[in-house]
Amino acid sequence: MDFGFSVPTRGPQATREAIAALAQAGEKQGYAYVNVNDHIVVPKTIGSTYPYSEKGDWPGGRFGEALEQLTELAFLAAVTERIRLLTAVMVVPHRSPVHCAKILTTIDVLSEGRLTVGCGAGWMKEEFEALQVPPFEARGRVVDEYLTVFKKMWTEPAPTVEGEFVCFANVSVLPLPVQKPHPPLWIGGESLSALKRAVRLGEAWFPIGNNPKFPMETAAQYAARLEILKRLLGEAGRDPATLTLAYAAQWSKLGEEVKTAEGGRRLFTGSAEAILDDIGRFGELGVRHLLLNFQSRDLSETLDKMQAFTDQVMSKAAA
Amino acid sequence: MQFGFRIPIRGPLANRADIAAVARAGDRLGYKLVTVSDHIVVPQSIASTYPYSETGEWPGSTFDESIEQLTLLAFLAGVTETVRLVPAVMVVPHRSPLHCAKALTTIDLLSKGRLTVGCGAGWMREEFEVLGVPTYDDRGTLVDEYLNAFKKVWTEDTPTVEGKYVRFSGVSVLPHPVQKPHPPLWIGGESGPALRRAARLGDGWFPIGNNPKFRLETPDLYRARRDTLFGLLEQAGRDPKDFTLAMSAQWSTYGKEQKGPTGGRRIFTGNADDFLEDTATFGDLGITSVVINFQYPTRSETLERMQAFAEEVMAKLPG
Repeated sequence: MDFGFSVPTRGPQATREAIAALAQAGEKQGYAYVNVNDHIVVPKTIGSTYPYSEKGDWPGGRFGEALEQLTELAFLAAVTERIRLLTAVMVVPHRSPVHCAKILTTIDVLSEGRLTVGCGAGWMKEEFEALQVPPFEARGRVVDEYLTVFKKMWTEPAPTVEGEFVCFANVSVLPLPVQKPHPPLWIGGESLSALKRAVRLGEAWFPIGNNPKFPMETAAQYAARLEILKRLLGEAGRDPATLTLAYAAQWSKLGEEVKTAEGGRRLFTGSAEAILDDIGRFGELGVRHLLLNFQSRDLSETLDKMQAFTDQVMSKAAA
Repeated sequence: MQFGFRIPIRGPLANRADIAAVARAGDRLGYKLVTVSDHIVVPQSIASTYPYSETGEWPGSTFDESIEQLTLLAFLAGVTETVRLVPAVMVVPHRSPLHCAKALTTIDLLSKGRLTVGCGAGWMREEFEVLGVPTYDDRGTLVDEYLNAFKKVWTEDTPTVEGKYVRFSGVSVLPHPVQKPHPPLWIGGESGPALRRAARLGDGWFPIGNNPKFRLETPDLYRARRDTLFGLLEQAGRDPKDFTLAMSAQWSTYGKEQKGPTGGRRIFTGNADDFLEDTATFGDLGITSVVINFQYPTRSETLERMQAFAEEVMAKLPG
């Protein structure tokens, strides 16, 4: 198992110094991934349902702020040397696809092959509308087509695309990314269509555990969802060993046990021993990457939380 | 006079180590601007006319490659401390406007207010078509709308835009840039529409001197065009004193004299005394920034020329 953490795109720690300090500390302590989330604008009124809260309201909305994800990752490429740079997740329809592919290539080139592209379909219709992207209702087809375009642009020097949303020919998209055949695509999401997309197009499946529609907050719940994924892999004739498993537990809390709705201990919360136990169980289920969030009120508290996890959990789980 | 240097988006030095080394050297040697040019893809056959060569041919097409401008600038924000970051120029229609505005804000914030946005309308129809830009023929309208949208996004908490091409409302696009009211917009181009746009929307004028249709390569030619611009500024009720004059001397060769288009020495070519003379002449005409070309095939030659120029020209300037 290896570990990652997020750096903020909003709030008092979304500054040059704090972002660099957090990323560099994580790199030094041996984290494998630093990740950044994706909003370009923040609608004032959000009717859409956020998938990762009980009531469907989005806690980020009240800030009204967001730095641009890929720009922040390019900055992180400059201030770090080894840690992998993860979009968690990039809302694939947010950006014009040819431009987006070249941005991602540039991050891969400038980081010397450290990019992993976490991919989502998005949930916030109002943001899609402000960005003037293809209809929210078509986002499944949009994501499939854009990811297919990315792969073509990353493996063919002069690709031709004739799709529903993207059409071009006669164009060089060099340089190709450093990573071959291309930076890994980690497909986020928990729904059946997300699982199917992971099987079709992903190098990894990268869900968040606390979607109330598809809860995976106990090892048993996760294992049940994984069985569905394995069945889909089998139907597609794809060897399950070729799909990596990553898991985001952005709620995790070391030193404080949080209860689930059913009254049990929520995964990845509680004592170091309890969390190590969870890590062992997820490791046995095949999970290789665990993404966490250490965000606290200020930078020093965030750094303290990261250090505590490193000392009490990560250093003992590495073996 | 402030001097700038370019970082390449293609070729043997367009990699992490060389870009970081050249940018850090420029920062340390006292250069005030680093510039990056803008192509996202390279069409395989280009019928459009490049404005800055005698034949209309674009020298970049022999390379077939480019990394993404704003991503590279975000990386440069991370590896430098003082130099200003200048897209030279950003082809405004290339990028979806809200995504672009937020990427620029992010660069301004992560660089702590070091962004100056060089803006152009573009000349390569084939590239627009691949990128899915709404129009090439009406790109003047598009540029004006996008620049006005940027200004609204950068200064208002809940901007509303109802344009021909850009429409959004009810969204927060925070944070605002560090620089107030916003990062300076330097309008590139030499044509009538470019000068009118500079007078209407620009904080500076940032031409390239060697457009054969609008030559600026002698003091008299430059003065005449500048006076046209000053007239337009005054018509718009603006004081030319509050306006920045910059020039990209992309033909410049330090240490090697070239013949000018009207005979005699071409400006910004030759030895240190020649550059000091041109600097004084164009300084008297109001120019405060000149971008010099130091692109050589190897890092060591590039660094050697940048260092020589810093010692032999920059250090000798009065004041």
